[in-house]
Amino acid sequence: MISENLKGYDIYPLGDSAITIEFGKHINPETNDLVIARFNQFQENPLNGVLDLIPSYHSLTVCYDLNYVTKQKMGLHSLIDQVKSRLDEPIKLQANSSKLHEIPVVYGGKNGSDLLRVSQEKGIDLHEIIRLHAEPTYRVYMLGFIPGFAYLGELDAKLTMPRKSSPQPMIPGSIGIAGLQTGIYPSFSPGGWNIIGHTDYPLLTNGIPILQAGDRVKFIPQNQL
Amino acid sequence: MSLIIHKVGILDTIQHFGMRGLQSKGIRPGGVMDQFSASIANALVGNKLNEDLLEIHFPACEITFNKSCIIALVGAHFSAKLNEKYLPLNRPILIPTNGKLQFIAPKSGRIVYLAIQGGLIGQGRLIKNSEIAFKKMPKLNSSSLHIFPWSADVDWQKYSPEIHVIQGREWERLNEESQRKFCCKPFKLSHHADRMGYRLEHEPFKTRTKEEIISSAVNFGTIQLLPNGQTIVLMADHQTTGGYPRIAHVISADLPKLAQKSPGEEVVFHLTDQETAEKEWAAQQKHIRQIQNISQLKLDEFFQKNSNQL
Repeated sequence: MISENLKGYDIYPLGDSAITIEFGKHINPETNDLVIARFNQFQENPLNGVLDLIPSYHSLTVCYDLNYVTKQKMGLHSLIDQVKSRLDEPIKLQANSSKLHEIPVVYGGKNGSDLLRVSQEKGIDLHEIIRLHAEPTYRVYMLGFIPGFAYLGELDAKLTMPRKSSPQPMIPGSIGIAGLQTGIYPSFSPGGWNIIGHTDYPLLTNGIPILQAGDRVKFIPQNQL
Repeated sequence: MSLIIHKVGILDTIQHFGMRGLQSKGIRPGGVMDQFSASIANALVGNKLNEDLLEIHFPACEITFNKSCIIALVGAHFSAKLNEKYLPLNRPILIPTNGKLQFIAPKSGRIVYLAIQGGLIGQGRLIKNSEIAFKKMPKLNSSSLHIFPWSADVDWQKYSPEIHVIQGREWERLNEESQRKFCCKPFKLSHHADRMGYRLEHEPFKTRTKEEIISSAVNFGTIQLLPNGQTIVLMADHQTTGGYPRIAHVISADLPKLAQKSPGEEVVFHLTDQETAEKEWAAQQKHIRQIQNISQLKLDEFFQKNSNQL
């Protein structure tokens, strides 16, 4: 396995057609700022053979054309060398987008069907769960999984829940929690997060996501339980 | 002048070869499930290798061609029938005007590709009673079916259960016993299998840690370990990122073979490395390009000889 951990990053293969550069081990705004800055750097001046870039909380994945890579003398090593010399270039962290989305949420009920279970498993009453979830101003760390799914962090550690053992069908607007993350399903999809509420806030226009990495989100509870 | 879709199969689509550059917005690349068969189908009719074409699952669509054209069927054997005659796989076929194509029964494989010389206009799911236009109007006018006397070697599809994988970032999470089982035990493909992913059936794998991982990118062929110890292989319509441990990734050269497996069929995973994966891919691509070159020559030759009859 190719692995480098000399310069504050770690490169590992994601199958034979992508590599992931990991910039840290935890979810924090500093690491994510670096991911977004490196994503912009690779995006503005693309490397030959690169097909797609996938920024996440703490990593940037570079998807490449295997036809291009197999024609290089050193195969993937040639591409990794180019990626590394890019990463050696100093990078300026860009100022965060200050865009704030205030998202109304109906907690619990039919479209927040896991709220009760979360409450029971955590031994925290429903009001306190809603308060803990709605209190922070979250950062949009990344978009991924399906078009426009925004991963928001950080969730209060008191609400940490494992993902469900098997994905369930989700409806648009479902607000879920998993680990230290919270997020909103923008469309029908299978999903493994614990659904505690629902919003009608528009998340896609003509298929293009409204929320962008770096934006901020505040949940506004709409109901009394 | 077009194809008319009389009946639709639930998963039949006009398929491209992956839409790239949008994964940062969570928009998946999608594209054909079996790139090998799809490329060969295009090669046989003289198209560029990544021309849009029909991806057909069973139960399959029924189509009338209201203009004579050249097609090729590559991939699954669904007993394709034109009017009353069975059609072979892996050969160019001249379809007569008003030919009606049906797929009678699934014999082997899971997906068949139908390439049309010149390509098609449109994308996405097939719609009942809709028409699909030819990208380039065929200049042919044949009233009879003609099956060309050459065929593509598709030995690469070898319906063996061996699937090669590269270790994933979270491979070490499997305990030793589960790692051993993963590498040599045959697993059946579950009925939960579609363009997004194929689930496998096995005793739950055991892990050294249950610690949650931070969501990050996944890939076509990524094998995720679900919290209940079961696994799923992500296929063409996979999500862009995920938070389940990635224990391994199917190499690109073996994805076509895996895509063609039906529920109940067995797979056996073997660990390999990047170098081998690159070699396998390069060899497969070379084979496709050879078929493309030979097909082009034979088609040109055929049309020169028969230009006055077609």
